[in-house]
Amino acid sequence: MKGRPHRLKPQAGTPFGRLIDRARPLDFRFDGKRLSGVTGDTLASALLANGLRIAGRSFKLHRPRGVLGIGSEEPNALVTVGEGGEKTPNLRATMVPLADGLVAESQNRWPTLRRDFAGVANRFKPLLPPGFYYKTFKWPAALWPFYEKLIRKAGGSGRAPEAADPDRYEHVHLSVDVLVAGGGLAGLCAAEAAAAAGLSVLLAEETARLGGIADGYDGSVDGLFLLDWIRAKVAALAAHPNVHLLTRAPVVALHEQGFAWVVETVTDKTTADVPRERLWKVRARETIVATGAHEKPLVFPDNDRPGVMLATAARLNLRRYAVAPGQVAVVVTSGDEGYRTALDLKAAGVEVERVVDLRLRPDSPMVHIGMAMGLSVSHGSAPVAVRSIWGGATVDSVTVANRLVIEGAALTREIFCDTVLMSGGWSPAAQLVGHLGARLPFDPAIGAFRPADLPLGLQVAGAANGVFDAVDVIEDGWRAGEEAGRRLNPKKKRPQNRMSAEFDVTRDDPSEPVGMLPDPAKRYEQARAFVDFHNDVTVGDLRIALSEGYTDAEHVKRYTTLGIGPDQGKTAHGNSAAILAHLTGIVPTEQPHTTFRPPWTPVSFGVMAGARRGDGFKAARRSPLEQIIRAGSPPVEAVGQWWRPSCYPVDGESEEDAIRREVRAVRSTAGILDASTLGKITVAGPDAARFLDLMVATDVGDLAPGQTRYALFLDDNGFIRDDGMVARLSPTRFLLTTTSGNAARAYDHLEKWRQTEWPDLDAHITDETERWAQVLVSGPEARALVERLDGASTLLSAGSALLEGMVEGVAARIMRARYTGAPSFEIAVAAGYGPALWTRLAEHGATPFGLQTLERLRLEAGNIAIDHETDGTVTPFDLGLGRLVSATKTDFLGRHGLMRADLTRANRKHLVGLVPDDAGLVPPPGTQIVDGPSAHPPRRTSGHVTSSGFSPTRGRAIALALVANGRARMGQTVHVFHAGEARPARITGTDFAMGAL
Amino acid sequence: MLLISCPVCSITADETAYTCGGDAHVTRPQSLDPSYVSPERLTDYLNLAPSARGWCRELWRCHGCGSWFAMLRHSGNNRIAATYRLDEALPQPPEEAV
Repeated sequence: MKGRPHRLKPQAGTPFGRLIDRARPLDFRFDGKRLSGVTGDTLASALLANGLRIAGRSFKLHRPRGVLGIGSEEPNALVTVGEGGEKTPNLRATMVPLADGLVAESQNRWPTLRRDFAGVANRFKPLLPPGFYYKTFKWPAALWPFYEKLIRKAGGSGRAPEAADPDRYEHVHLSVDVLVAGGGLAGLCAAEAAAAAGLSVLLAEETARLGGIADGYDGSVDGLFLLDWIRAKVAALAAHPNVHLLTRAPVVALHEQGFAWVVETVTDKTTADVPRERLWKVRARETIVATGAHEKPLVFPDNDRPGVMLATAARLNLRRYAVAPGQVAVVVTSGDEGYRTALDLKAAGVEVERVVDLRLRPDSPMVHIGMAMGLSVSHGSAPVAVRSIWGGATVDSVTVANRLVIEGAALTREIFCDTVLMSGGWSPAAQLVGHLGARLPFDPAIGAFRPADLPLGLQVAGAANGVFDAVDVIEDGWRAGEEAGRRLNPKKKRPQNRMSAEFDVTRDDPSEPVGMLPDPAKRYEQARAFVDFHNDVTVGDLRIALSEGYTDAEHVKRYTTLGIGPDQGKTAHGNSAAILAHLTGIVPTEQPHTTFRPPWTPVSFGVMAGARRGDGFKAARRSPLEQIIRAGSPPVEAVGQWWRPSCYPVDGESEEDAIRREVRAVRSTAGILDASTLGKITVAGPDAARFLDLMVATDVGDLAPGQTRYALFLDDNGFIRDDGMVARLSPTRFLLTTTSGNAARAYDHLEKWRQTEWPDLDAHITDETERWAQVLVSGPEARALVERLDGASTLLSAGSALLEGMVEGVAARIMRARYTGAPSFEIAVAAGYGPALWTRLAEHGATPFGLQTLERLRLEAGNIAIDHETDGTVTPFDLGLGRLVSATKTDFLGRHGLMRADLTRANRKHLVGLVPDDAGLVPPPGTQIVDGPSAHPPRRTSGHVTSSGFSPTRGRAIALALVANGRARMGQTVHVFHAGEARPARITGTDFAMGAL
Repeated sequence: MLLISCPVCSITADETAYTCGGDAHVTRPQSLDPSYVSPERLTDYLNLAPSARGWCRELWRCHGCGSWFAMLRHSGNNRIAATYRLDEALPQPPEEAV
């Protein structure tokens, strides 16, 4: 919908177009159309200047909408900016600075903004009551997949980019005395007072400029025009060594202990040196919230048409960008702001047909100035309808009615105009206070929520504190800054901030808090009187929600979607509270608000992640053998923080072929595996044996030096945490090996119990994992292979399970193992010698094998792997490992837990082998086991597959599974439910290598 | 994000430099008498955490020095009254209303 362009002609001596440079035009594209603006514009002001009234469509009804506000409160003009990976959805056009070549798109429309297909929804508004989805799509259940598809298509605001984000983001940590959120009048004064008290100050302002909306007001302070006074203050602050000023950097979240998130937009186009956005993680001793206020819309039928705008937003658009909202205006207001806007419009050459004042008998300087300047004013009137003559989207007339009607129909009058500017008073924008759990009581005097009962270390100043007149705002800012100084620096004497008596700023007659106008409207009018513009919530919707029993503010919010979405209902929550209180008949002060949660404005995922993406996402630990074993780029998999090769394919082998070849090599000759990643923890000290006997379910205190034992670590419930070898190195020293992914956790676990439960035991725990490079040599020829290492044969002849001595001239540890089901030796040398050891063994003919091959080998041997066969609810007895639980120790972690009734009942799930009848069918881990093949859903399952694979040794698929009462069901046939089919399989023992088949 | 001081190494750092280990000063009944623990005591110990709104004592581990210590924290507003070593006398919560 294009109208006449709305940019004012340059006129000397007028205050209009303060921020723009007409000499430097900018080209941009909106929905593919080439448009032009000027330097200094925002996207919203440029769209208005081009006469584009419709900037977007609403979320639910796809009603056409125009720009409503001036800042981050904007609920209507949501746009997607950028292309490719830099595309950012849900930006508020009022907050996007215009740049040359900017590409923006409107949202919630298809195929175009003007002809929107889903806008049909608007015609069926009565069919889309709150809770529509819950009510409509419940039945029949079989159609849900169809409904879901439709809902998914319609849902969501904006579209996420499909390409990866090429931009850089960074995090910065900062500790300051005082954080000031907001750089308006109050924020600047608070920062000034705090800095004067010798405190370090971070002032974070959401928009690109300091001073807030003070440029919408005239008057003078200390003999200076308001704007010049602010300029002087900003210059002094910028020069102050203790003050850091940030612009385009909203405080998006406040947390306990003075922690705050500030998201700074550094640039809109990243270059190599400059990140796009920066997340400041601020720790402040005192926080001052000076986030200003948002102007409330008035609630009347069709108040959402493009062309209806907030009065102060229209005035600021005039003063900043020389953009007029239209040619013929009607101003509807419940306070003095409307008069200021009307006077500005008049000065700019816009015809002001009428100022409609809701107040019955307004008496304030602005009203008198307005009348004296010749404004045509109606008192005690209210808008009741907005119409477009030809059924168009925008505004051609507004109908106003007398508010006080004694009898009969109200006197109405239709006034023709092309824009309606409304002001319902101010609503403090102190949502940040709510992040810390403070409630904001409803203040009927201003018709909005106002912060009270603040937690320690937090203050609110200025309009956010419900103080709206410029002079009071200045005083309130100074008060907050001085208070911060008193709290943090009580001894210091500080200068007094006082303005001279000569100020000339008009004071307002407090706006009459008006929620719904005119009071009880007809049903069909309520259904068009919008409270939340973004989510299409009307007075009628609120009434429906209440009549269906959703009386609590939080329930109303969920049921009607009031106050959700990218704007978080910034323009809605003051009005909705007044209306809800009115409809339910409760005292307005009792009306609670919904919980305000971070973030204050939408935050990009990129800046949350910062440098933690790609390689920076997770720290990687590297095996000392990494350079050798990953030289041929084998496939790797993540194990904890390690990356371990799955197998080593040669000559273009597939992964499965490589695994089978490696398994056969280990079964016939010998293979080597990088086992450096296994956790290696030593426990030393006079009480080491006693401590370990408490920590481990298996008896280990009776080990002789040089002996090893496979042991289980339980938690105090009796469930398996980890398994590993425990070796006694000397009477007072033990070595524990743990699963690769578990080393750090196992160490923490040991330390926690030592420090908190048994602090009197003299034992020291050391994580030696990265000190050692370790190679597992496995296969029938493993011993022969190891003996070819210089010095190993003498060492092995000693016969112990654990041997320490010199191998190839360096200190080594050799431990016997049987995890693969074949004779194995784990050889550990100092990390730096690892590559040499590996190379030597490979030269002697050992086949390198990877993690997947090891998995297949231990599956054939029927050995368990932590997190495959265990899931935190599995006991040693479930796995048939009861022999590893000590019968003699009176106490160890899990002993008493294991004796509980549920852990000892007979029909728990047992670990069994599973052999599918189809020798080629490998049921993946997690496959459910069902008893009958033909049972109708819901099927009863009796267990699940925990590990599976094709056994090259047996030439068929094998699996391990946890099956209810499995040990009593040996030889029985069950069914694995795989790919939608139940396939028969036989329950067997677990030791496939030893002939369990 | 809590700001925590370790009472052992006296470093002050963000919560991310620590690990929470659940309730502090929990009595493990089998440590007192391993010969017999009634099922009720065992269930209390294993399954029931106080988790009340108000002052609570928690175990935390410092990633710097590796020590476990206890924290007196208000679960309603996250105020930290004290952090203390496990062998110290228990500090009491502040009197004033929070």
